[in-house]
Order: sequence, then C-alpha cells, then structure tokens
Amino acid sequence: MADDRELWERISRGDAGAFDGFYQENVGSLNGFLRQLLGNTQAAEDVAQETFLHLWRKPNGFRPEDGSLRAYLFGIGRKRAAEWWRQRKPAVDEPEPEKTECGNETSSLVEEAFSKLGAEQRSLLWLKVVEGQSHVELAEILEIPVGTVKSRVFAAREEWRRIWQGVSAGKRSAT
Amino acid sequence: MAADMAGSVCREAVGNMNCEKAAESISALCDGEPIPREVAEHLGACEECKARLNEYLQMSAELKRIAIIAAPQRVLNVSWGPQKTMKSSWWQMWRESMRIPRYALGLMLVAIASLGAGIAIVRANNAERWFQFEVRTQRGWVAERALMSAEPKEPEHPGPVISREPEGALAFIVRVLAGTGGSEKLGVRAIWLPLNADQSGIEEKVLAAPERDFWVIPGQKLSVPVKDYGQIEITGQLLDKLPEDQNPREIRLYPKEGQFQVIRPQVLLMDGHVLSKGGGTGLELTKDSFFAYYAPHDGWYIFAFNPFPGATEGKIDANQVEFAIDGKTYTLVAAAPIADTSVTRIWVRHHSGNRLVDDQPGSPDLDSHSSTMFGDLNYMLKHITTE
Repeated sequence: MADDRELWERISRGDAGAFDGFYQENVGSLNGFLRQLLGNTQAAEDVAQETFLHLWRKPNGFRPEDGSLRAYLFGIGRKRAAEWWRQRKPAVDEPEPEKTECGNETSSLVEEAFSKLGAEQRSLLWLKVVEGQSHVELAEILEIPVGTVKSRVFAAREEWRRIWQGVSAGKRSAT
Repeated sequence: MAADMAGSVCREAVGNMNCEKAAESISALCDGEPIPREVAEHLGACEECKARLNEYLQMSAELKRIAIIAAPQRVLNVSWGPQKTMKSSWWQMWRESMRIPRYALGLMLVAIASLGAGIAIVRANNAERWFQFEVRTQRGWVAERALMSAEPKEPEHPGPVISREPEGALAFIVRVLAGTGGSEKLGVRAIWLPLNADQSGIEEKVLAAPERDFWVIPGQKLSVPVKDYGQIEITGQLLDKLPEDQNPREIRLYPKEGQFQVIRPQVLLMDGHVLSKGGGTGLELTKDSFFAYYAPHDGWYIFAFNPFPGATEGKIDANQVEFAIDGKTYTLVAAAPIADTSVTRIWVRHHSGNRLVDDQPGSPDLDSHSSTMFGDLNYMLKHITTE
C-alpha cells in the first residue's frame, strides 16, 4: 500500500514515466478482464485504453486508504465496460464471444460453462481466480460489502460447477 | 466426471461438520485461504468434498489457462503527456504557419510530386469530430498534415506519403482507426528505404508493411519508431467541427487574394515545344514563397512573386507563366490559375543541375522525372547550390 501511495503521488504529479510503468504492468490483465466482460478483444482494448486515460486524467479519484491502485483501475474498467454495454445500440448485433483455442474438451467445456455465468459472477471469479484479488479489492471493484465477497465467490463457483456438470452431461448424452 | 457429480448433494457428517457447511470453506481453500480445522478434518474423510475440491481446482486451473492463452500478445504504445487538456495552441500555431504550403511542407520544401511526396490528406464526411494531425520526420520536416474523422465508423484508406530525404525515402501511412473521446487510435505503416536500396514500388511496399496501432492523446506527441530510420512524430488535436478553410469541397479555382498555388500537372514549353511535363501541387503559397519546376536534363526554373537576384520578370495570366531566358521564350502551364486576377508579374531564374538546394531531398530517379519544389524564397536563396 505504501508503494501504491508513492506511485499514485507520482502519477498525480504528472509523472508520465511512472504511469507508463503502471500501464505496462497492468494493461494485459485489464484487457483480459474486460475481454471476458465484453466478449470482444477490440472493444476490450478500447475500454482498457479509456480506463487508463481516465486514471491518468483524473488520478484524484483514487484514495489510497480505500484499497490498491490496481483495484481502483479494475473498478473503473468494470464501470466503463458497463457503460460500453449501455451505449450499444439495440440494432447492433452482439458479438459472438471470442473463444480461446484450448487444447482439450474439458477446457472448452469449462470455458463454455464460464461464459454462461452472469457478468457479475464472471467478474468475481476472474478477478479472484485469475487476478488473485483480495476480498477487500473485490469489494472495492465490484462495489459490494466486503463481508459478502467470500459467500459470493462460493456461490459463483458453485453455479459455474453446476453449469459445467450440466454441459458435460449434455455433451455426453449427445454422443 | 463432472456429470457424475451432477445433482449430488452430499450431507455426509464427519464430526460436527457436514458437506454443506464445508463447501464455502472448500471454495476459500481453493483460493489459498486458510480453513477451519473441522473443515480440514471433514475434507480428509469425505470423498464427496474431495471431489468438489478437485473440481474447483480443475476449473480454476482451466480458467487461468484460458487467461494465459487469451492474453494479448502486444501492448499498445501510448504517449502519456501532461494531464491537463491542452488548449488549442497547436491549432493556432498551425494556422499561423499556413504561410507555407499546406499540402506539401518541409523545413522549406517537400513536394516532389512525381514521386507522390508530402501530399497531405483532407477528408470530409459527416463525422461530428475531427482529428487534425501532422507528421514530422526525424529531420523535423512536416511531411503530412491531415484531417480525418476522430471517430470513424470505418477507417479511412489514405494513400502513402513519401518524404524524400538526403539519405533515402521515408514512406508512411497514418490513419485514424478509432477514437475513444479522449484519445485516438492510429494505424501507422512506415518504411525507410536508404538511397542504395531498391526504391521501385515504394508505395506498394509501404502498403504491404504491417500496420501498427498506437494511441495518441490529442495535444501530445507520439513517437513512432521506423526501422533503420529512427522515428516519426505525430501530434494532433480534436476539433468539434470542420475548419471552414479546410473543407476540401471549398477549394476554389483561383487562390485567395494574396495567395498563390501551383496545381499539378504542369507543362513547360520552350519556343512552343514541350520541354517537360509533370510536377507537383503546392497550395497557399505567399508573396515570400517560391516554387521551382525541374525539367529533366535541363535544370530548375525558379519562380517567385517578388524580384530576387538573377531573376527576370515574367507574366502571369491565370494558369500560365510566360518568360524569356537567353533569347528563348518559355511558357509554364499549370492545371489551375496560379494567382488571383490582380497579379500579373512573376520573377523567374534558371538554375542548372538537378540539385537546387544543399539539403535537397534525395531521389535516385530525380534526373529523369520532373518535379516541383516549394518553400520560403529567402531560405532557398541562402541554401541554393553552386551551379
């Protein structure tokens, strides 16, 4: 947290080098997070860019005592992603979620099951499992009470497991 | 395996713990968190809970694997500048600099239009906002000034800009791919061909070069590396409306009062015979400007709107300049009027050789192609080569 405060102070002073380091370190993770929220690599890149730009232009929105700079970044990203969905015109076809090329059937079934979860549960699991965010950070990013994070992660994980089991059973009966 | 677990709700009790109570802690264990001893004991003895843990771990591992595979292979380059939004100082400066040709600028010259150099792009459509930018070469020359939609529905496909420099040719294409409201995503293709390299088909070569994405914040400088060359710099800013004097639909037949233009192609006649044809386009020249037309194997004909050393007076009549040198009568014919109707006088001088100024952009085929050069007269006179 002390490092975050120092970094944030440098960014607030307009230190482009410090911010670029923060950008280089986190843009990949943020892109990944946004990609699973938006289902579109291009949109994820664009929203990630907006997110960093927002933080660069308005660093004062971050309060070090409330959490990490990274969590703050992901929180902005999540809001921007929600905004992106809101701004989409109904006439525009939703993009097919882009699938990764995984090596085996289990992978694709797990991914398929994951994609069937709601946005909040996907966010929660992605941030917890992939990004390793703490409960406090998750609470900040998702704007939920910290006391409910653990049970929500569990509920999301159970839901994911249930869907996976259903998908697996469906595939097996089809063959 | 997963299907085997479908619908199974284990309520096996081991001690005071049962599967239902243990499940949330197993999820937490999966995330590396400590779990109560009772849960650990239950887990050790309960096959159902072991299976749940294994499935959770498998799902997590798969998700991490997906994340790694899906991770972007590239990080977009971003130019981070001052945080406060820039005022329109750049635009003001740009407008003030319009004394020199808008479509073909350099430190003092650029357009060798038979080679397609330095033609800036002004595009019009119904975009609500515009991104106006300039591209500078490593020598500080403005090789392109362009205006494109800031948030294009479909990216434009501008043609290449080729900047001939003493050491070779720089070719690039810059276009706006997308705008986010606060930054512009640019697509850049750029190549550098030194003089000793094969420069044929340079336009095709740059079109075939991979397009790289860059984000630029309006008002800030973006440096784009070009292999074996160095870098080009792009700066620009957002405009809420198309500048009135930049609307290509408003290009007029005659230049504005006090301004001059040379529109390609040009034909140079000597005693009624065609000496050369071709040349380039220069707009918004001023009284302080010159333009020079190169006739292969004959040399440069320098034209200015004020008298200058060694020059003889000629006449402008719409798109024609008539003058005489060494007893021969010449006529330069351009594609459109050079000056407004009030201007009738022009001064001309011949300069032998294919190099007019000491820092003239190089071109291996200069000898055999006509070309036109524009710039500041005083600068040219200071740097003119010895005949």
